[in-house]
Amino acid sequence: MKKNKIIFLALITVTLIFGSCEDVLDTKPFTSFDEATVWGSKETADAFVNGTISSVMNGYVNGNQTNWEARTNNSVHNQGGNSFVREELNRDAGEGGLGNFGTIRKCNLIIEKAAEYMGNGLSEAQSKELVAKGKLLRALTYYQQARTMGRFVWVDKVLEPADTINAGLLMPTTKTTTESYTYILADIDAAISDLPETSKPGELDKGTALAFKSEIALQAAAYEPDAAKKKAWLEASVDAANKVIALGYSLGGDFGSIFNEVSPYSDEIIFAVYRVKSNTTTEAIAPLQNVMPNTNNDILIRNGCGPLFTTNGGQPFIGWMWWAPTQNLIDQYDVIDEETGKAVKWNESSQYINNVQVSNTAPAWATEGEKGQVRFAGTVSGSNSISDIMYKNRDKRFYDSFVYDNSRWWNEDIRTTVNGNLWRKTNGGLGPHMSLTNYIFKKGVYNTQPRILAGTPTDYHFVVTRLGRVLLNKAEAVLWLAGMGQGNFSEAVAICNQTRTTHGKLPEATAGSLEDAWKLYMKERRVEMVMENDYYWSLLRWGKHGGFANNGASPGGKINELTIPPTYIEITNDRKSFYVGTVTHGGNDVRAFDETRRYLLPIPQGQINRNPNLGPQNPGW
Amino acid sequence: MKKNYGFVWGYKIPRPLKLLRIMKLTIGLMLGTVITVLAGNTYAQTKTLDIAMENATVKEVLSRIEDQSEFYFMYSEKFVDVNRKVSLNVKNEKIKNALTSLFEGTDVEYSINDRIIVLTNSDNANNAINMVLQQKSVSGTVTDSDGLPLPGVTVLIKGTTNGTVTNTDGEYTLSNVKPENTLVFSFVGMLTQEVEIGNQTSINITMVASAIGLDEVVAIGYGTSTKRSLTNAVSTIDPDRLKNVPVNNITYALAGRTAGLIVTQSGGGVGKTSRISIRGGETPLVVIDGFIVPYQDFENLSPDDVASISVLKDASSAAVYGARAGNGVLVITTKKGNSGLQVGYSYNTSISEPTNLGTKLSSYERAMFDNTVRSTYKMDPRWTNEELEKYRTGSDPYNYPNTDWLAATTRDFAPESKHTVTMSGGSDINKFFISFQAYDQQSLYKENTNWLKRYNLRMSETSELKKIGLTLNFSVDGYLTNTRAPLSQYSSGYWQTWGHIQNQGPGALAYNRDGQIYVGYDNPVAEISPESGYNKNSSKMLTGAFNADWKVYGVDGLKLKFAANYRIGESGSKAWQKTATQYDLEGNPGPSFPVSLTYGSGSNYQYTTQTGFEYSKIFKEVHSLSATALYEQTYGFNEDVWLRRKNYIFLIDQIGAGPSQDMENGGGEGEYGRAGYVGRLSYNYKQKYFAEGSIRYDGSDLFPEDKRWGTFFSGSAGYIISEENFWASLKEKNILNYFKLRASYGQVGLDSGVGRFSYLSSYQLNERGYTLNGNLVPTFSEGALVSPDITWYSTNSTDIGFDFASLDDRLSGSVDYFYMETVGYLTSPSNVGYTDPLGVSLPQVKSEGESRRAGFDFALSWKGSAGEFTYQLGGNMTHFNSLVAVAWNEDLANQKDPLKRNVQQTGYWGQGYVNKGYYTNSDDVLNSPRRDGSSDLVAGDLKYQDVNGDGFIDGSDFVRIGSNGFPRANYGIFGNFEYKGFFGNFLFQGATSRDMYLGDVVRGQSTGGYTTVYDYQLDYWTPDNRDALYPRIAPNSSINGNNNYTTSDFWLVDGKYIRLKSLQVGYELKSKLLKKVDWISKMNLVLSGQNLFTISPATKYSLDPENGDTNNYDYPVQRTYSLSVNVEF
Repeated sequence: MKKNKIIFLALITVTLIFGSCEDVLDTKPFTSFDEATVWGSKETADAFVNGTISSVMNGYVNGNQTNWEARTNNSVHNQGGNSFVREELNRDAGEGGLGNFGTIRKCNLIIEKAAEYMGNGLSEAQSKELVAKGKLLRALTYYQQARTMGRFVWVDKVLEPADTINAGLLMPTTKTTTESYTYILADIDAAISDLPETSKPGELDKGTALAFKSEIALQAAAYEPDAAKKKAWLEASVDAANKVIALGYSLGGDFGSIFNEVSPYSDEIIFAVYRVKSNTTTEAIAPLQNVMPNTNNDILIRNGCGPLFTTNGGQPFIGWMWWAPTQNLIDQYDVIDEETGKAVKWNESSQYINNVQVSNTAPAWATEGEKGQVRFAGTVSGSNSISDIMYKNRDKRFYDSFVYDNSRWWNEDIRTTVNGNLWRKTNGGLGPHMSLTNYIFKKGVYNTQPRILAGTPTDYHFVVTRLGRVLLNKAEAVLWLAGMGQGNFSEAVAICNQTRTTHGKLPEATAGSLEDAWKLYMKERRVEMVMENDYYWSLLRWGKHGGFANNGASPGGKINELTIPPTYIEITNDRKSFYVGTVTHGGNDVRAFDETRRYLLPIPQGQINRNPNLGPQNPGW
Repeated sequence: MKKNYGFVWGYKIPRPLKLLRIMKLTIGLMLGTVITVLAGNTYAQTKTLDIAMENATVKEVLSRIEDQSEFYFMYSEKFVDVNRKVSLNVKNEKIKNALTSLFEGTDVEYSINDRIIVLTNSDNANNAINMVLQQKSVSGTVTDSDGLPLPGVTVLIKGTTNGTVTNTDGEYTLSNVKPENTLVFSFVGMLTQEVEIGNQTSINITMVASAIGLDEVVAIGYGTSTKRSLTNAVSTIDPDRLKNVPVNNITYALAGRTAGLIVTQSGGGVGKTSRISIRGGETPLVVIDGFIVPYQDFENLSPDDVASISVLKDASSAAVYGARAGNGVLVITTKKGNSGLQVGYSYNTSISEPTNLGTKLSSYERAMFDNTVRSTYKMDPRWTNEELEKYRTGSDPYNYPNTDWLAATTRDFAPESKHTVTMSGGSDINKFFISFQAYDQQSLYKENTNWLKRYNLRMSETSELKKIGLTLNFSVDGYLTNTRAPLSQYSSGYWQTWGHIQNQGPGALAYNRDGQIYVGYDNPVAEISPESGYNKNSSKMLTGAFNADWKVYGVDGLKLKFAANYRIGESGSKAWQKTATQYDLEGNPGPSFPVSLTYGSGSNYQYTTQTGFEYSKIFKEVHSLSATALYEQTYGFNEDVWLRRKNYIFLIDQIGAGPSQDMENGGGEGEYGRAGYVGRLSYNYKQKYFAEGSIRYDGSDLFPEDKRWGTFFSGSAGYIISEENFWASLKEKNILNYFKLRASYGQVGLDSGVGRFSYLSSYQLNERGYTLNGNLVPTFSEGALVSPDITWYSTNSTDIGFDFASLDDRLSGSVDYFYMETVGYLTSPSNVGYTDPLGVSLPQVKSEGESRRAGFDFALSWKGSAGEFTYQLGGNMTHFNSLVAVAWNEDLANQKDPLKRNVQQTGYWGQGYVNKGYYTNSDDVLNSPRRDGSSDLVAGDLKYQDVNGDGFIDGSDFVRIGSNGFPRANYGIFGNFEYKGFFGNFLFQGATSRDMYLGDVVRGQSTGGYTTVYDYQLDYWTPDNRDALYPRIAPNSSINGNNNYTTSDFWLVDGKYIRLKSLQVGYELKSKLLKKVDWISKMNLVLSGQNLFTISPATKYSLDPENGDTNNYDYPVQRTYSLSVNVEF
């Protein structure tokens, strides 16, 4: 028995010892990039910066362009209005990205690690340039929050887990827009000197920082209660714009090509986000895929519409249209009066007045259900075509920005009249796939081959800022300063004429008063900046200015433009008669603006519930 | 080979069982046996024994003989003094001689009947001989329910002690019987049967296993046990019930089969699997033939290869498998060889159709409805009268069609077929089992563009080197699964295609006049067309395993074990994304979408080794002790590569044919490891009191080096009260023949929820992150913060249960209550507190988080017979509920809101408004609190409850609604029948309440408009129809600020159901027709059906309660009919 026991124990011991080789647990990751790899060279650090640029700039482009445009009456969505334009928002709404701390952390990492690795793979100049880019990106992230909510949580370092101790991260928001913009502009100012003067397309440089500064300072000034401070920021805006102009950018002679495949690297562009077709397909680009109609010859034939399409097997338009420009917007593009040669509003030209009989009642040919939408109607006399009268001799930007009746597009004769081939009801009823207004966006639509069709690879570029925009920023600052008794509004008129003549190919305009100068400027900015994520923010600034900038309302008053319902045009098939009607489909006509609260959107209440220091809630929410 | 007899020829039975059975033998049996050594005793004549025992009892000697051989002894202690001390020293002796020396000088006589040896004394032997001489006999064959002969069955003349026992061929002969006598057939583990002799001279009997099957061998973690000895919550599934069931994989076949197992289907389709849950947990761990395998291997397992399935439900039984066992374990053993050659072939063919699809509106009905809605809102009609007429009459079918999209895309039935060949055989020394299965499944799609083909192979060979006590098993098993699914611009799977089949309006065209696929996005006919692309996937697995058991010579009861397996897995995919050309009415081709090809290939290997020992011994006859200890380790490595070319110009589905511009590729490698020490100690006293304890010292490479190991204990105890003397009368009266109490407590270590290498810092690379100067450049981003403090957390589970048998073992059952709590979840504190400014989540740490799950499960079974009609009826149910006791990932602000919080709440659906029905009139609208954001409300709109009573309905009234989305109780009710050659079974399976939230199309809503697809959707609110199924219809769902379609409990539907899950009827041809054909040992035909009918409230929304999507965006659940043929040679 004793022997057995020995065998027993020996066997167990041997078995378990042999069995136990625990190195199966010594596993390692096969690919890993540690901190030293990323920050130890300019190339790898740049890769981190590039990733951050991508996250920050996406806040300015793509869906942000189309969405914010549809929150004004520049554009309507064919599936209906949204709660935003109806003022049906509540304090839970989260607009503007409060809590975009992940991006802020990236910026702070760049700022801190670039400094830390100076002399350790990064030269002093490289380190400074990286820090400058980090600061600019931080400013641009916070600007997205400042212009929506006015306030944000300022984080200027890479926080560590240790910082969470004792509720250390229950950080407060900035208290005022002044405080917010002070942080943002300080970051930009700190960045400017170390940024390169020139860069490759897609990179940040001095021009980018200054261009943004000219606009951010303007937005800051609009919200600034203190007159002296306001003035200082307006001057900073002018100064930044001047520095941009000095950098040698020039206005593009062919306006439309700045936004499509013809001149993606136009001298006018200061900063754009580029996409290439090796990893981009059309459906990823909202201002491309979602502004293209969808119909075909079979539908045209069934519904008695035409002319039939001649290209692509009768199916040239196969997009997913949501957004379309409104008649309200079209109204802004001047026509050259045949008699006087002057640029005037389309329905104030002599060719219009002499040929069109205007009526304020609905024409008999309007359908019963739509008669109530009619605002005014007209019938053309003689052999004239109403489309010619309305659309000929317009501001060049009109042709570069829109598709309209009797125009040519994708090698097709476009007809948006009743029973036309791109008429709003070509597909039967109103709704998906067709424009509600009988206009279509063209600005920014690439000539993607073979067609704009989901899945089709395409290059693209989103223009974030450009010289035209900066010039207009300067014009606004000049006007504002002029109203405060500093400088002369004529400088602003001259700036407006630069874009008006170069881009619009219109004769120079004149303005005899500050009021006229404002009118000229506001119209100029609106037509120049369509689909560039601008109009909504400009309206807020102009509302804050009040007076000339907002139909005489007092500063901070109701913004009329945000309550005006969108309109469409309906032209008879013989192009003899038309009416302008209110877009009611999907409740698009319901528009409201509550001036007691809408200048600043709410800080999402759910976030305040989590961290009371984010409060108090913005007024009115 | 039938496991639940506790004894089968040639099968080694653990000694305690054998002893027990021997003790049960009655005096009558002894009388009936004769000393004659019967024919067919070659085993007795060839088998030799080596025994050297000093001063041992006769009983011990007999046991030793049983251990060394396949003999077993039957005797009654009344006639044979087995406690007599003897010494025996034989070497290389035949059994006869060994017995002669053992019983020398006593009156004990013996008879050897093949491997059965009956001991009796000379007095009784003479009686027996006398009876034999007077024989005027009745004879017959006793078989089991599979028709196999049953040896060793006691046949007694009722009221006497006269009788006999069946021989190896299951035959018996009884002499000296009278017509008025009744024969009583009894066998351990079988129901006793009585038959009046009458004028019969031949009585054949089919024995039925008793419901309780106490000596059924049950596979448990790293070993086996019996039902009698189990102290944990383990239930088993009868693999016979998985046979011939027309399911595409084993997961479907398990629903409703046993207590504790919850199986929920989620839609149908090629290659779909059911979700398996043990007591409401997540995916369980699967162990096949002793090794933990990837879950995928279980899903691909051929149901015909399964020999047993045990469900380890409590931590005490599962814990030995360490981390990953927290959700319970399925322990599966596969078939092994028997001696003798047996070849089997099965063929199964089935067809299936959707269980429940709603009736869709025709294009005319849709058009009429459009106009009705628009006229209600004083809008221009959408369709003119002429157009309506065209829809109604179909006079212009290409401009005003009425397309039945289901008919355009699908056929009535989807076919499936399965061939299975098995071969088993061998000798005492070597035994083998081989099986091969080919399975082919097609879909409902009209074109055969969606299919699955699977091939399974299994080979097992067992060698017993008896002289040195070594048993070796080698096995190889593998499968190859190939699937094909259509792939196009519009669809990459069922979600899209079935969504499109439902959503395409009847007014849209499927084909043009020439029968070409019509143009337009999302045309499902294009999606399923063979002209479109495909997604082909293959999954290959090959595992080789080796098992060695060595009964250590000279150390009684010690067995050393070594086992290892090596698994190779390969996956391949080829995605050819192409969209069939579509044409307009004139035959012009539509837009051509870009074509791309993506190849993916992955391979992996994993090996596991187990080294350890088992020791079992009975001390002083009453103390049974067994111990197991082993070390197990697993290592795995995987690699994958993929490559893609885009925008094909030459439409050849080969990678080289694509443009090399913009080609892409990628890939990676990874490894993982696990290790654990397992120990288990079991003890029982007189098979009455049981105790067991186990430990696992578990290592996981998910944790930093110094935090890798954790120790987890478990323990359990059982008490068979019915073995106590005071219970005797309850037993005799058949009130409770068996009653056992069980209790267990155990801990399972958990490491789930931890990312790999989260204890190391890292940055992530995006190869194509940004476009600079017209080129794509890579970008970096920061990874998650390093989590240095992560380590094991655990689930602690308690189980209390009892097993019983009553009414002469005919009724039996088990009931278990369980309570589990998982504590110490690893979580980032950012999930709870406000740390947002950090910009990243805090590292994971162990939290106070605790969740609980508790419930009960039970199973009941009744077995009975009437002559040759045998039957079994039963049912099982599993009920559980769960809650988060201490939150670990819920934001503090939410936790503080009693109406919203998740912590301390048992099952609910989610958050939403509470509906109060429809507004009845404008006063009602004016006088009721209005939802923030709702406008223009009218009668027929939904009214919501102001839960907090502040006069507004806003985010704070958005509270918990509904009940759980996963049913809290599941049950099965089954029956099995056999009569002569006929057999059949049924299974009803059901689930109690669960809430399903209707999808937007079924709700009748879509962005921008209403969607009215089905006839039942016409039941909407109007002033004349106020108790409608749907609120008022509006031309635009957002007309009232989306009031009616915001999340609320109005759209919750109870998905409880009961369905006839399975029904089978079969006939064994061998019972009559082929009786004389000796080369066929078995041949039967089986007709079966699955999901034959369903009762559920969900069907009023045309939803199957087990569908995959409440918008019907999934392949429908199938009703299946099938025919199987099984032959054995």
